[in-house]
Amino acid sequence: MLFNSVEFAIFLPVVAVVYFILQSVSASRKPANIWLITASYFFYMYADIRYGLLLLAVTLVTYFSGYLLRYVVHESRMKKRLLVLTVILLTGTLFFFKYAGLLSKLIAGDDALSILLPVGISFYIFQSLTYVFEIYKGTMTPAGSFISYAAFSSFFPVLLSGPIERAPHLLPQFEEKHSFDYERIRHGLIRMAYGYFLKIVLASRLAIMVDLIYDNYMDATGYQLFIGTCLYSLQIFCDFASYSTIAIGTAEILGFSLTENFRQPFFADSCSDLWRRWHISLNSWFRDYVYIPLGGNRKGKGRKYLNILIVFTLSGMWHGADITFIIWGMLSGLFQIMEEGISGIRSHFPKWLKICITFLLFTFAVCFFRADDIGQAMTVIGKVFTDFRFASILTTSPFSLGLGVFHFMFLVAGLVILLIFDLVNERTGDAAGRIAACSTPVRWTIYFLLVLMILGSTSIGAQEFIYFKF
Amino acid sequence: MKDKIKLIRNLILISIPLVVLCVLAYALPMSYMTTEYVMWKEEYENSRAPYTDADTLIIGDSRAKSSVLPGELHDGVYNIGIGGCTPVEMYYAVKNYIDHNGAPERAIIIFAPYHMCDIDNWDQTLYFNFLSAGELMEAYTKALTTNDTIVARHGRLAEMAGYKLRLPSRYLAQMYDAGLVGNKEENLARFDSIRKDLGYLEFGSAAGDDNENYEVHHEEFDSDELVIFYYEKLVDLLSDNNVKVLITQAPVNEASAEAMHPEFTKGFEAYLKELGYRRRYYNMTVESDIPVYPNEFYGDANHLNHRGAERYTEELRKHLDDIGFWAW
Repeated sequence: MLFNSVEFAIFLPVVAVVYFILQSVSASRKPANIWLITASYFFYMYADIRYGLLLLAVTLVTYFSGYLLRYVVHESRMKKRLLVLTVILLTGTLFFFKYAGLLSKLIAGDDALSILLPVGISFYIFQSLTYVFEIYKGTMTPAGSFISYAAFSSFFPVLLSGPIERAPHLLPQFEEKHSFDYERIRHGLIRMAYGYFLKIVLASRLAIMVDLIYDNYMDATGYQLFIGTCLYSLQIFCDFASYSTIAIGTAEILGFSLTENFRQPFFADSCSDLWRRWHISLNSWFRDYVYIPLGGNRKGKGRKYLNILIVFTLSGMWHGADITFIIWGMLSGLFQIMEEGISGIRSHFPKWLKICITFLLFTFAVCFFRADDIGQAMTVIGKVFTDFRFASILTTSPFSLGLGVFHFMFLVAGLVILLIFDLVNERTGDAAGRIAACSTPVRWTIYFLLVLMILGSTSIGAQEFIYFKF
Repeated sequence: MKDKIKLIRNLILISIPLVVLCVLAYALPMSYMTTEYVMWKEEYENSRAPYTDADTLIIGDSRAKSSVLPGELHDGVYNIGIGGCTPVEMYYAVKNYIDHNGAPERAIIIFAPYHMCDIDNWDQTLYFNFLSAGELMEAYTKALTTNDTIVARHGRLAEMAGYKLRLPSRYLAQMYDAGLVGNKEENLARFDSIRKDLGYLEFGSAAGDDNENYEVHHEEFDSDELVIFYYEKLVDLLSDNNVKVLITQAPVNEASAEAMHPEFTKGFEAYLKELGYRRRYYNMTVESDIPVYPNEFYGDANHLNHRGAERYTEELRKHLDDIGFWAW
């Protein structure tokens, strides 16, 4: 089920109302958690009923693995083996669904197997793995009940595209009581509205421009492709951040606190800073469960750089079964290494220049993320560097890039609001909270402005979130 | 409790812009919709309050709409065909007509053969809100029991709700394109024109067309189970109300006649013959032969131009006299 669908507009209020009723009539958390599990499986299986079986299998495997690690297996070598077995089982499942289709295509060509990729599989497998890892490390005890754990592993706001929650952070919240709290719900609704603004007002419009440029990349000038790729950087941010923001707002309405997934990434003044602000839940997952166990920065510079490359290559593989994602991941790692290599020179740059360079490096790498294949990416990059055609800056009307005057002006206005919102977030850390604290007339003006902008953009049509395919 | 009321109150307040847009979309369709909508609107209104006291209805899709000039066929004829509709929509149109006004004495059914195979405009049916929620649900429920992939496709229920609620996501683009009321004059003029022509509407105005029609893409008569169900339901409805029925065919152009697959034509004719046999006790005549007209009589690949409609109407008039259609 899409967050930006009529179905969800009905689904969420029903889930929330029943959830609060169950919490108020029962002293036990059990009925409310059973309701959340039911709602989450409905949410997940709405697109394809088969998805639910895989989610259930992942839940069972990780729950019992955690149980065995804590209560049954005590010898450390056996624990390690059990952990490795669980990791192989889950990552193997992930690998199968992500890569079997590609491998089959490479081997069998047109007779390749058609394998359904369950949406969100990368997210909930990684989230469930945190449970096993943390129990193995001894930093948490297994869930109090299977019901709580199943509610955690299937929690619908984060199920399809994260944030990838850590078990020690989210799981205990399923054992707490969440009563109706007006302020919290209002805050959650503002966040959701902002998430819809990012998706419907910005990402959907940016997608039209980017798609038009990339669909005609052979005829486009280097300048147009450069603009198109920069816009794609913005699109992917708006698209993915919107999902995370709606997810966080949805969870907040129900009383849950989720991890922030984006922290104004385009204000980053270095690539490493950018990756600490972008898809935070995934990057910190890789940091804690791959980079640090590999030795992190404790084994010398050479090993550190190798570890960075490994982590970002894995991150690329996690994103998709295509060499373009692997190149994107490797480039992202490589830029951080290069940045460290010239840190002396960089320190003399003004901050704005560092921010611009970071954005351009990110955009360079993201070209591979957007391209259908390496050939397209290389053509785009080649044209930007060899066929820029400065004259096309003057001849390319912004209104000719798929959006008419009205929608283009709407987009520009939206981007200005995004900039203001992110500036406030950068300074205070909570723009939604600042809005909630405004005087009534200002607050309601902002509310109506957001609602009108969202409604005014609904005609563009509901589009899937980019990260669904991962 | 106070907080809960406050939340509900604020949610209602914040929904005002949404409600306003929905109300505008609901109240002003003739002002912002494209001209295509007018034909559906005219038929919708005619089925509930007929423009004339017709005793004979021309029933069908755009082929029916553009081929028969009611005023030149006989007194008391009205063309209730709708371009882009299938027997699904037409069944409900006729049912509403009968429910509100009583049954006509005679009906002439003309559907393009390809419309027995494809439901290609269901989104338009939803968009124009031609069917009531109950009718939509009935069609949806039936579609679930057939091989349908259009009417009951995944997510349809939510789409249906979106159209019924006139959500901006469905209508705002058109409202914006039309400047909200910019199409009103043109639409009202078209509405009057359809009424003046007793339901006839020209679909293509070219002085000839030698392109191939939709039927040529079918290698066999792969009829749609849902459409056939409604086609026969329509025939049954008319018969139950003692309506004398003629099922006949609009002509196709020479270019299409040459390109149509023989298996398709054979299958179509066989189906109609079999239907005629199964309903042999009805007061119904089934004619499955598809006439062929020179390309010059076509306004586009699928529809007769006005000259073609005049010729076809004249031939149909003579034919109806010959078979004693007007006698009851």
